[in-house]
Amino acid sequence: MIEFRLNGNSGVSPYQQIVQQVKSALRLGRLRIGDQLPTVKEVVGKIAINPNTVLKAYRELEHEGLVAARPGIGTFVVNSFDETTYAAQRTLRRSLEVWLEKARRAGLDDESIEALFVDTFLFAPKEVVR
Amino acid sequence: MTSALLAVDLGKRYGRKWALSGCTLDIPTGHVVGLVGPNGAGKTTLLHLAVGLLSPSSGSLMVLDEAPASSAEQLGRIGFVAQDTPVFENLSIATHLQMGAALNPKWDEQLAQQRILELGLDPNQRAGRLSGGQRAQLALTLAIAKRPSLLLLDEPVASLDPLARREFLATLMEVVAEHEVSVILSSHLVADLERVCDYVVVLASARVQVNGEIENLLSTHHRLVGSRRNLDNLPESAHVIEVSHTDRQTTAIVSSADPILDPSWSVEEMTLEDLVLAYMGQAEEQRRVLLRSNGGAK
Amino acid sequence: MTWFAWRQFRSQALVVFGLLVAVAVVFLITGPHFASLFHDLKTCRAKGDCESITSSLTSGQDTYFPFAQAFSLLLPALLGLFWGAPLVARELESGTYRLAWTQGVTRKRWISTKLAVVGAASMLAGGLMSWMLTWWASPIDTVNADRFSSLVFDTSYIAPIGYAAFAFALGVTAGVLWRRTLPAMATTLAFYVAVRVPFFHFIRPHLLTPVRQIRSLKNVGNIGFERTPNGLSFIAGDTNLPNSLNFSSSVVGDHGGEVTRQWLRDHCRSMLQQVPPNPGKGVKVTTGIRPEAFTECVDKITAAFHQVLLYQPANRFWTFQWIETAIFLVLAVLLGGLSYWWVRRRIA
Repeated sequence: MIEFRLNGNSGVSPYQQIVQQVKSALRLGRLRIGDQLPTVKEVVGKIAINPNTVLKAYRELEHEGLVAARPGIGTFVVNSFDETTYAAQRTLRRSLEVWLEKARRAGLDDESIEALFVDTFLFAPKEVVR
Repeated sequence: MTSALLAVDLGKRYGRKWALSGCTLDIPTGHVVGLVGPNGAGKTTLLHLAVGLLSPSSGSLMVLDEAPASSAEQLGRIGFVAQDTPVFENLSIATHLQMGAALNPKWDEQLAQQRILELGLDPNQRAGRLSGGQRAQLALTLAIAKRPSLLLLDEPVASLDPLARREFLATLMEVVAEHEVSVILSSHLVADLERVCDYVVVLASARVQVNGEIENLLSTHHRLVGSRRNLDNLPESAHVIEVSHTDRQTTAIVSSADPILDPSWSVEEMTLEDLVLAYMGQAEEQRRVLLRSNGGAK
Repeated sequence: MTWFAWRQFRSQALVVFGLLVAVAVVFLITGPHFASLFHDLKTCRAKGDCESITSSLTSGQDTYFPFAQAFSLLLPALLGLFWGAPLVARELESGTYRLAWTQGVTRKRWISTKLAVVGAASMLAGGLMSWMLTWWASPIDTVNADRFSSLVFDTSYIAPIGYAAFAFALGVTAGVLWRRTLPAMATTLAFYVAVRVPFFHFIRPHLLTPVRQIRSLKNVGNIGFERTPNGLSFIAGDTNLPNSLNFSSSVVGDHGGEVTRQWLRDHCRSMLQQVPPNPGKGVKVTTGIRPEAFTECVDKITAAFHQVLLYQPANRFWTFQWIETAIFLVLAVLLGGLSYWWVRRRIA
């Protein structure tokens, strides 16, 4: 089950943080179809936020068709992003790790690595030729 | 729909000093309300009026559609956690629960026992020997085991360390999620309330400065930054809360139901803290002006 | 609410009732001894020689009696201080009133239950102590025969119930008005003494019109003369009627007036002439006076004057107990009403 955490200084509202964290968990395969999201009570008992904030995030996820609430039971994942990418993710992650090690060996510090990655990500061509 | 708290021109005076005046509020049920203001702004006075520990000097007040403390049933529908969470030092936790059971018609013994168990407290321990956080949790347990429709909490986390603060608020939010209960809690720190409240009342200088659902307030308040100028060309619905000028730049915080379309302003979103501070600043400015004019009259 | 009122009060109650149990133990150990001495005293009166029994009764009385009496005298004040004064004041002082008054019980019921529970306990404690002392000291009281005029009235029978209720209500009222325990305790003690002492001296003797009795001075013992800076003056001792409350005796002439110095100069010249001019301190007035001259003067006085006694007779004892108990109970109810009203209306 997914566990939420809140970053108070991110400038992103708590409800958006929850939405983002669910989506990223779906993308990375940590949440799969059929999985249950924590109940509102469980979430607020962990991170001390207004229950309406959680409800709002869950409603948005429901609206996007990713989860569905079953009254009296809970909220479940009913849809996800392309699950076929999970297999590719493993090898991609490994090659990223190799790349990271190279970068460190070349003397880049963490901030430089992050900047380099983000910059490349933003300015590389978006279209992929299949 | 019933009001959790309905005040009309409510005021409380001690001698010649008004601790609260001209307070008009209509807070609907179903919210977690943050009552924010500096120390001495009248937060405790308002909450004590709401539970009937004080009676108004002027105006009227209804809590859940009844006069505060008008009957045992009315008292039973309100859970109150007073500032510094008073408990009977010489009595054990178990005795406190027995008290709750004896004095409250809707007492939920199972809920109370469960909470004490979860908190890992020894029921035979004397309340006077609990830590601040434990005492606050005991006071909260007593308040919620009444199964109230409205919970009032006066600076519940002010004296707690960050961990105890988080645990207390988490418990409170669990209660809100599980039971249909409206909450009004006061604090002099916005940071305590930001995550848990969806409605805010800003008190300063014994008066309500602003109140409403936080989401609405944030969508109707804007920080405007632009080249130095007068604030003449704003929409009609706009109110200037705060304005400051430098040589070249003007910064203003305005409330406006209409969007600010003037492209020469850059419009920034505000956080709850910005908003509260702006209103407190406004109240403080008015107080100083008043003091100066009174001083001039003498 | 009754249960909780008792629960909050329990430890304070245990201290006082524990003390009462200790007193009861002492009384139970020593009581039968006094009772048997008293029994012996009654039988010995037929024979005549009672001195040894009387003296062992009085010596036993000297050992325990003052303490027992003092405790019974102080107990109501202690109840006012330690039960009454903190009753509301401590809740206000420690802030727990914010917890107590926001439970599902109206303030009206909270204060009336507290007043009833602890008030009843106060009366019970005062009454219990009084009842034990009355039982234990009855042989002594019978021998002393002064239950109306001494502290026996204040420490035995039913009056202590009234005092206890009054002291308790006084303490509660002081606590409600001060909102702090310590000054409330001090005020309670001061007011309690300020009411009880003048009541004892000035009010009790006048609760009913005293009986006036005129007696011949022949029946009065302890007659003599006292040297004053202005010469001699006549004195006649009080006549103690058993178990009655005397509060004035005076020597009055057949045609009114007292035994003045002028009267003595006119009628007792021969005796006055024998009085040494300045015998020095500590020398009895009668020194140097011939008995015949003294007797002659006394006879003349006895012929022309008599003693007028004002007193409350022994058979009014119970009437006075009831009246005084009722007065203090009424005061207690008034004070209790004041605190009730103040808690409901003024602490807001």
